[in-house]
Amino acid sequence: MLLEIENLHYNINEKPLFAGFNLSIEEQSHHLLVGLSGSGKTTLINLICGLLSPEKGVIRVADHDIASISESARDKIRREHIGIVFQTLRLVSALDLSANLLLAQRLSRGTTDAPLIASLLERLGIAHRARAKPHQMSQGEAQRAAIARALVTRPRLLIADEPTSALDETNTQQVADLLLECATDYGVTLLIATHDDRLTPVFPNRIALTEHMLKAA
Amino acid sequence: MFRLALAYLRDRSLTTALNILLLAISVAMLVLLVQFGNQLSSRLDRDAQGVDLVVGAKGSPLQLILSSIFHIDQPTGNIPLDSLDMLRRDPAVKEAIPLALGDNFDGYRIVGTDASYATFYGSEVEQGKMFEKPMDAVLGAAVAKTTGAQLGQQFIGSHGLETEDGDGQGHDHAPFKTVGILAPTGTVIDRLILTSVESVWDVHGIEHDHNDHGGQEKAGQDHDHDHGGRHDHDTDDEALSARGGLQPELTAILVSYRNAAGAIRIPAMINRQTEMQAATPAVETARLLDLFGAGIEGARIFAWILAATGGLAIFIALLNMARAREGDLALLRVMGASKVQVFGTILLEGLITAAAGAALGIATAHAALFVASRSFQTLSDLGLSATQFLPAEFGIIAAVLLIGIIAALVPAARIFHINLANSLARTS
Repeated sequence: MLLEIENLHYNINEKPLFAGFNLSIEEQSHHLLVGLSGSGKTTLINLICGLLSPEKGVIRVADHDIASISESARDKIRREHIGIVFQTLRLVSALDLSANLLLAQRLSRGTTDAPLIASLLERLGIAHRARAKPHQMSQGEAQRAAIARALVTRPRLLIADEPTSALDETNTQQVADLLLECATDYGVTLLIATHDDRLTPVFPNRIALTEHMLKAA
Repeated sequence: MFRLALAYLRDRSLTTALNILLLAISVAMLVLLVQFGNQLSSRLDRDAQGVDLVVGAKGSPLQLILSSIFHIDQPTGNIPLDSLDMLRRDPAVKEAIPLALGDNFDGYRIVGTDASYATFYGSEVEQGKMFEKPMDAVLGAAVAKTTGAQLGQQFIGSHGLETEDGDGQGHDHAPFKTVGILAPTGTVIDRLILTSVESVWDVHGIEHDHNDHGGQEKAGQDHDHDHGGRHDHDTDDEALSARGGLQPELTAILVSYRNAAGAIRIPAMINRQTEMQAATPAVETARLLDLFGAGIEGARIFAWILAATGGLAIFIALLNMARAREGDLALLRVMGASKVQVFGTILLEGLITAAAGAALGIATAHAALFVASRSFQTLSDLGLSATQFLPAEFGIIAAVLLIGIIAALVPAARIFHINLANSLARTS
């Protein structure tokens, strides 16, 4: 298992959001994490990434219990195993696309791999935007750039939080297809938190968060 | 992370440029003050080295020192010629060098003296020979370089310390002849034209005996002498002799003691028992530096306030940046950057800004020194050098870098208090 969550307890404002929550995701399987606004999708992602600490329970990422280790150890696991794509926060604003990908590689692995960057940009159809700053890109280009940034470090688990909410129909379809294709090509496990129904046909596995209980659809 | 810090600085280039400019102005001011104070002080020390006492006409002792040692002021008046023999006979006097001042050539003062003056400043003749006959002149190194004068060339002196076009006070009847050029010494002598005391007398039509001064040869000429204007040199006050002519006199005498007893006895004797005054260079230069020092200190405080303002500007810019860039900082953390790395990036931004300000300030100050020393005669006379770097400048650089670091410290420290999940919730 790449991701295992056992008996997760987490409260917000002293009200339980997760109480005895469990989840298992196998390597190279792709899932949608669905639920209404406020159902806890983003909180669960933050817990899996080690950005939040649970009250109780185990969150095992690549055999490391990210819930019970120090902050610097969490940084290390995030660097080595997890790539994250956000809805709007996509790239470091001061750097162009190419420099963003180089920085991501250097932070993650300590080295850079220019051929991988070039092939990814080509694969995502934004090679011609390599020197563009984030504010110079369209929404669709920027979201594909964010996917490139997350994939360029060769993570085992790629988590995307509402990756298509700000995109139109055409871009949503393109981004969804690219996420799936690249994940398959690079051997990455996908977990996509969304309430965007347009993604449902692309990803057959659904994890629905309702009343703070896990229900596999 | 260095490249990232540079990229962030470039991203808000106008703010960065203004902060650098603010620091550069304060650094340039501080460097100029340090350079001016230091070079002035060392120049005064160097020029006055070995001169224990200056004897001249009564008046301002500071003016006497400025005119007789540094040659940047008018003389106080004249003193009798026999005062030189009186001092030379004194067993406590090691050396007494006569000075007869009054004229200049192209802004460079013509000094009537004897050969011991050049020896006193450790100056050697590089070309030609030392003056021997009346109207022989030996040029200091800077004079020869600036005027381009060659051996054998003749020139005419003008009254005072500065030559003005059409002043009509040239001594056309008595041209000097260049017989020697001195090697550079880094002292005031580089900017002087040396000749015999008798030459100065001759130029001004003062009759004198062949034995008047040190047994040197005299021309004994008696020129018609009509300056047709105000005289600001020693001959202005020359007393008329009983025959109605001008008496040979001196402007000042530079004295060095043979022993410490001289320092106690001679100034007191001169000041109480003669119509002359004795001024001590060490006392007067200290007074001069004190006068300058008050002004320099005020300007220095202002410059440091400016530097602190520059630091405050960096602080505000980085604090605003850290707030506006909260999403970026959170993204960097998510991408795997440690807190220390992000902290270091912000700190580097402050440091790079301060370093650029310091470098620009130093360069500006030295360029200003270069331009000023070529544009203003007084600064040139003080021997200000643009290529001389002082240890104090490294102190200023270190202080400005510290200001940059301190200014960046608080904004950078925010990274340790950022709640990543909250920041991402707000910005993603």
